[in-house]
Amino acid sequence: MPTRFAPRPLPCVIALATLFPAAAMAADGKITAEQVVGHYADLAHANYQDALVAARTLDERIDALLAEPNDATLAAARQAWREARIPYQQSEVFRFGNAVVDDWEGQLNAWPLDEGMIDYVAGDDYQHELGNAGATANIIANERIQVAGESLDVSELTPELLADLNEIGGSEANVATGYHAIEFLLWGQDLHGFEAGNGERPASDYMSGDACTHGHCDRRGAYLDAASDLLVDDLEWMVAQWAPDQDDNYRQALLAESPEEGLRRMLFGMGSLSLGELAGERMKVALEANSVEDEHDCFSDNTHNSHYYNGQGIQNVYTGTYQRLDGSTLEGPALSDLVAAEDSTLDATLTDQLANSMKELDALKQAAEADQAPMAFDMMIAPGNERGAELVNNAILALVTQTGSIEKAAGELGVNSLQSDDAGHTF
Amino acid sequence: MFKRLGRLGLAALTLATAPLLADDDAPQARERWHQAIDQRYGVLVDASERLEASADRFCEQPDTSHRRRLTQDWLEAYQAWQAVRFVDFGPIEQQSRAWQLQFWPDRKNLVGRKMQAWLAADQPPSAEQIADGSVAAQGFPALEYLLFDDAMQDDEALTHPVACGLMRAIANHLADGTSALRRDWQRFGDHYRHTASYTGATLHGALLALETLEDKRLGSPMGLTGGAPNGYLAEAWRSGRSIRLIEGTLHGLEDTFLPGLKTLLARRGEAALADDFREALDRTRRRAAKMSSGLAPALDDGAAFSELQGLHVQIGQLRHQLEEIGGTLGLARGFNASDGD
Repeated sequence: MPTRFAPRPLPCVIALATLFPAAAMAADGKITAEQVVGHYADLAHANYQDALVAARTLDERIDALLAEPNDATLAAARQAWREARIPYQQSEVFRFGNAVVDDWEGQLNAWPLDEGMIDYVAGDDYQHELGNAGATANIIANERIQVAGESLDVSELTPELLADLNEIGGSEANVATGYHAIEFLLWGQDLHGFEAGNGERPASDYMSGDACTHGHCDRRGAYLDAASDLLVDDLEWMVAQWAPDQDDNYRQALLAESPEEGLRRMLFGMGSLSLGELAGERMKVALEANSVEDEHDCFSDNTHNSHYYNGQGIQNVYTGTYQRLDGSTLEGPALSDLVAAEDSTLDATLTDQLANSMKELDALKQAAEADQAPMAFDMMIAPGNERGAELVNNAILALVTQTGSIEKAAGELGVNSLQSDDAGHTF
Repeated sequence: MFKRLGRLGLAALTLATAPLLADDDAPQARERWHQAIDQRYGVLVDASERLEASADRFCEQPDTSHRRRLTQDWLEAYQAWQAVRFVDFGPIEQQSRAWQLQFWPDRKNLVGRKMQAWLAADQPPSAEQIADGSVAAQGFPALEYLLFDDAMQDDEALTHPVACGLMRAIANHLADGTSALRRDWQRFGDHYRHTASYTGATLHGALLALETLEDKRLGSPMGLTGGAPNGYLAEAWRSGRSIRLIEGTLHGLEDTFLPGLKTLLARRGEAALADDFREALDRTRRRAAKMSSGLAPALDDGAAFSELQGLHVQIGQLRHQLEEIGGTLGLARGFNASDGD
């Protein structure tokens, strides 16, 4: 378990948490869908606040690394990155149901990326997306890059420029920003394949003068600084979208919808993350194809934690509970309460299944973090690793199983159309 | 906004099996579907066995006519799979069988890298080794690499004992796999016929097949889902047979999915809907049959690209029609394993 952040004063959170006892119960003592959706917005707000706090710490550690690049400052920045993933990965459950998140998140968590667009890569062990014209652009080494016949001035590495470079040349693999770009700049490529070990970028990649390794250290530092600043800016924006005391933000729009629409977005987010994204894209493809390219946090080998906290986010939304970075717990009216009122057996089943998924995801985490012979996710998916395959398969199966019950719960709550929100958008 | 549709579209438009068709008035439809799918799996088994034999013959006597026959048998078996690929429930769900037959999409050329690794070995693998390894090295795209990749264009490349042994092992595994698939489908028959929710699952499979055709197999390489046009995102780009595979899928929907759908709609007094769908499907399939076989070359050719656009539009209309039919039948929407981004 990574160490938690030092407690920080977050006065408005405490206020939110204390709102619950007063507002939770309707006149007849029954929890209403409106209350559940309202608390869901509270959860999202708290979760993004934590993601922001952790990203600010990461940003400070990156500034410290750039001010004085050495093994200790690099290790501290890496640790801050790992901790920043804890709240962010939990927040992914808000992504699929809420267009405001899904439209925004590509700049923060797009994956997989063709990292040769950003910096140097090993010539013989770099497989980029076929047909991606930007896959070897190397922005750090070049003040001007050519992508798909277009010549671009990248001399000044600002957050705005990096945001504009995302998906340049029309390829989703051209990820210039976000957690995984920062991860690559802190760790470098993992050249160990299915063997133990992750990226081994030296701190000297950020040193100046003769001590600089791999060239262009100043530009590399400027890139990392800009990417980190952008991450903080982006999270600030999302926190504001869920803040309770603001007009014209997403929270207001969500709460103005019918409660059924709110429930639909909640359930859609849970089911999509559980089945298609986590069980499918992030685990099954990597396992069945023995593909390290399909590993989620492939530079840092932190994949087990990304998966674990994705699962945690799904459980959070169902139980209406979120454990904050400062150790406090936010609780309130939950989907679970609504389902239990309709079908207590289904609620018990789904509650157990969510707990079981967390147990299986924890087994991945324990194996990856074991003191003796740790097995990271990229080792689990190696050809012939039966124990690794079993660990991953058990987690997949648990997620598939709980998704079936999420669908049933949706049916019980009268949510029959589990589709994404496209209301008000023109395509 | 268009991009978001690309990423969420599949999740958005899929059908679940939950509360639909509360009264099971559809056993006749499932009976027809089970039979039709069984026949189609039978065609796949036969074609896979011909392909296996053809690979053996070529390796024993690598001449031009055996090579031509091998290529033809590969395409026929690959098309036979396309025809029944809409069946995404039942035994095909076991052991990632669909990926064993066709690992796709493959944006990062995993097929190529897995094949290069096997080709660099001293000895060819056994079929068991292929079965235990990556799905990327097991199916039609893996064979396509051996038959069509630039690295294999030298006359000697495929006749090399390691390459030929590799091809035979893959073809052997493929024939074994399809044969087991059909056997399991037959055993699955009673359960399928007696379980009402498979009516929805079957409709859902066909709808997802059309969505995949529209968004992933055509829209994505054509650059219509937010990215730039990229021929490598098409299926079968190495062989330039992308459109032939699409034709195979349309053909399979026509002769494997449609009969059960007609039965189902006729019982609801909605036979006209089935007729409209059949006409549109037939028109679309005939259009695809007349088009040249590759997708990537059409990206740089105005006239050919217009043809692709026309096909894309027609498939979109088919998808829309089937969604309407789903609505008429009271299907609910839910999750499926290919949503996510």
